[in-house]
Amino acid sequence: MMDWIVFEKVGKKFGTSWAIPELDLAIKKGEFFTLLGPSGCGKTTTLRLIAGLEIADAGKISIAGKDVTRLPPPARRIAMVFQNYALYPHMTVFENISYPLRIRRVAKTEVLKRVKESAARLRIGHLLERMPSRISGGEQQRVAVCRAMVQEPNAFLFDEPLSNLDARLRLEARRFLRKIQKELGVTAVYVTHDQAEAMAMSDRVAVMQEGKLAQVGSPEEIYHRPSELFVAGFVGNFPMNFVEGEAQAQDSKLFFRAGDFELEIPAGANLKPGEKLTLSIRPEHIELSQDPGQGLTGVIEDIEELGSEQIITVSVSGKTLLARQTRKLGLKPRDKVGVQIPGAMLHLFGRDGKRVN
Amino acid sequence: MPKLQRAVLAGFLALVSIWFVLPLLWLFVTPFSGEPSLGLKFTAPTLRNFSELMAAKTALAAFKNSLIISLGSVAVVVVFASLASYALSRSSFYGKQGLLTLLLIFSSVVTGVAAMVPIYALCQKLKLIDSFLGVILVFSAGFLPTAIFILKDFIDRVPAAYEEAALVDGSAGLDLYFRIVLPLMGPGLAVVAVLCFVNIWSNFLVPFVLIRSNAKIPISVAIYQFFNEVGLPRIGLISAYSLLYALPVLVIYLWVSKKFGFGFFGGLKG
Repeated sequence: MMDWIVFEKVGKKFGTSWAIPELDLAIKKGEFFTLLGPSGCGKTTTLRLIAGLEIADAGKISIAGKDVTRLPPPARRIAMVFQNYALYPHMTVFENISYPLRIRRVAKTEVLKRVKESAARLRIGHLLERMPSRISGGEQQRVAVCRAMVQEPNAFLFDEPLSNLDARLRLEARRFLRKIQKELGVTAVYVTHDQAEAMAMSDRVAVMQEGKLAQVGSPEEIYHRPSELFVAGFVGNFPMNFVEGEAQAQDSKLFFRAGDFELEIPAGANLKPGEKLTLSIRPEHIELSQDPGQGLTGVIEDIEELGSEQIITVSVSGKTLLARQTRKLGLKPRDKVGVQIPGAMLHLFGRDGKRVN
Repeated sequence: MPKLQRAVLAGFLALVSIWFVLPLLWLFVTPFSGEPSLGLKFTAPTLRNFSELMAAKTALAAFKNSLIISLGSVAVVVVFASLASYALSRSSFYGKQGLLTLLLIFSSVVTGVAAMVPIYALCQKLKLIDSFLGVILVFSAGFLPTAIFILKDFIDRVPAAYEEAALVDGSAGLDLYFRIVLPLMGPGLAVVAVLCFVNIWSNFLVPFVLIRSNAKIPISVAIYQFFNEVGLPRIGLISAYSLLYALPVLVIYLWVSKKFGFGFFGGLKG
């Protein structure tokens, strides 16, 4: 697949500080690409740079092989769905959806045809004569998507389009957005701070922090092999366990040690003895067993019952870990348990926050 | 609250409201009265006062003059204020805050009494004495600062996302302004237009100073003609004229409040 939206050493500053110092990015044609990060990480600025709502102060941006760095938004032929939908309040739903076509002087019959087709597909055909203020939030969201769809744009840009929906609608909208995008085959760039949304929808995810890319990869890569401590902490439905300690050599093997807490480090890590480390393991990757002899020995401190699963707080040699169990083991607080931490699921990060194993 | 206290309070409020209602009642009753006076007297309704008024030529011409002056000024104010306030709201440049403060200060200077002498001198130099254009320009200059200020505040509250959406959707420049920005400003413009219209319609000083010929005076000035030979007011004519004078303002208020509800909306969800 060819690179469709390309950033080369792009910089953007607000006032005197660089919101984005130097960004290199290549989004492939037809993919669903997500910019993920906490607020203020530069993800929305990146999206606005693609749209042309911000103009880069350095570097080059190209879309579909064409340099658009200095082009104003109307010349870029992209479609954007805003967080608050930005449906024009003085126009009916039909006028809203057809606006981009009418402004680009598409023939009337063609406008009518395209709006009807897209509206039917999004199941909003019956709303066309209404005013935006007279339809529900979920419907407004579909209208906004419809307005983007009819344009046959170079790319779809989504700026947190689901954050104003309630939880149930959000799950539904997630699936339907992805389905529509795959059917149309139009490249989509999606901005969100919700890691679950990013994981569920994307072909690839870019995790951003302080205007820089922390990691770019498929949801599996981001989840299973976070390249930085920050990514490890940001991605995942349950907060990652972190233990700080250092590497120590013993009998030609490497161990991770933090006080009494000790764990063998699987071979292949790029480490020297004495190095400061942060060990991370996801709660869902910790296995508990009733036999305290299996793996490390721990004591259960608390059990949170969530129905289909349990979140168990377990103390191992003075360190507190969270474990997520889907099997019922009949454990009680103060029980002694075996705590197994599979080496393959272990993430180790050096002092600079970079992955070392 | 005990019943007695409530009754006393209600009685007191009723008395106060009579104080305010009486003149209004007078305005609606006296024009149709057979023997008009300054007191409130109910007689068999008659249209005699109105027919007498129709006979007075300048009185009717003054109506037309008032409309020309008011609508002309409102048009100038609305066009320039909408453009200026949009620019002031959406752009940032050096000295913007100072300019806004200056606007606020100037907002009541031009049409005030203190400025009348220099304005008269200026209009004389520009040969604008006794012309509608002169009056319209003075009114426009007088109300533009306030109008810009109110509208700027209004646009500040309209999310920029609408314009950004329109930009991405392919509109720019005048397309963007006329199709998106101006309609979004609608309620704000209506408020400003009504405010200006009402003020200009009832302004006496500016046309009184700048207009010389009887054929060009607006109602606010013409109303002073209805005195008899010995200088006594002709109550019947004055009251009938006052009613006609008040009607456009009433109609406009009702129409705008029905259409826009006089609320500053423009916010969106989220």
